[in-house]
Amino acid sequence: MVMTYARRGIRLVGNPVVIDALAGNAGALAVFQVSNWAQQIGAKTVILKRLFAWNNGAGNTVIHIGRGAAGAVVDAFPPIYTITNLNAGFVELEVPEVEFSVDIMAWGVAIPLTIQVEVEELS
Amino acid sequence: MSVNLYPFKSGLGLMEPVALTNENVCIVYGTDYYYRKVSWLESLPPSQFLNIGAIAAQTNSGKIPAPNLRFPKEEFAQIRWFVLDNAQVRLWLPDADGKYRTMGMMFYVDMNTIARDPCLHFTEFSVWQDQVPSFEALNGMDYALTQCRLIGFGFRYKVVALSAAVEASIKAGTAPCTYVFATGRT
Repeated sequence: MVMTYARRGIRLVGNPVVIDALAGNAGALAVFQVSNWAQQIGAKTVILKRLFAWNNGAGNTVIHIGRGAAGAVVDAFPPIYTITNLNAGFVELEVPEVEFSVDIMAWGVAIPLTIQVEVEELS
Repeated sequence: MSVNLYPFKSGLGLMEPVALTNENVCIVYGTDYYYRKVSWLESLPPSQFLNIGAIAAQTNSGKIPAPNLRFPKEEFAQIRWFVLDNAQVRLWLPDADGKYRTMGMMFYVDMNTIARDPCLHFTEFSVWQDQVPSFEALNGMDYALTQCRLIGFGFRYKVVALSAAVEASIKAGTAPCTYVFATGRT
């Protein structure tokens, strides 16, 4: 066995995260937490590979994915438009290979939303 | 020296040891030659041994020592490595002496290296005892890197001194010995 691509990591998934308390940037929640435990050896990063969401609100809305604390999340992707009561799914070929060295945060212009992500972890 | 073991060996496996137990080696460090016999060896699985850290766009990190690649007295290690983040990385061994060097340039390791050299045999270097290697990362992109991680693996060897007679035989070319260059050059 030989390696041919350094940036081939381990596939991991976050939990389905329900965003239902607060609409807007201030209601942002972590949909994937980057491991940075003090005893961990080396720095880990994650690349978002897949996103699966459910908009079970009363109307269409927009999901933002980015970095930063709730209220100050900076988009890492263009906002994602979702239609009420439908799933929004994006797979690897559709998602730009954005790397996160901090938690992946998500928020909705309207709520409730349920979001799950699949990542590739590099370390 | 086993006929099938030598530095920089390429193969379907990632790496083979440079010598086995009871085989003779000569570790070259600077202008010093240390004639030894291998007592035992141990593998070092692929691990992140250095994170140079954040590097601003179009910036050189400077030489960053890798103290995780220090070894006790009478030990040397054989290491191959690759870069996980988008920088060109040069190796200094020790800090003042460049590795992979011609008169005109220092060759580098970057994210392409592993695609062009899947067993990474061109990246191989050796460390003698606690002579810490240093790594210098160049971020030529128009964006900052939040980290610059290096992954290394290989073998470490515990060695013991050879008798004067065996050493003389090696120098005379009548006893086998594998030469291991654990140094760069200015």
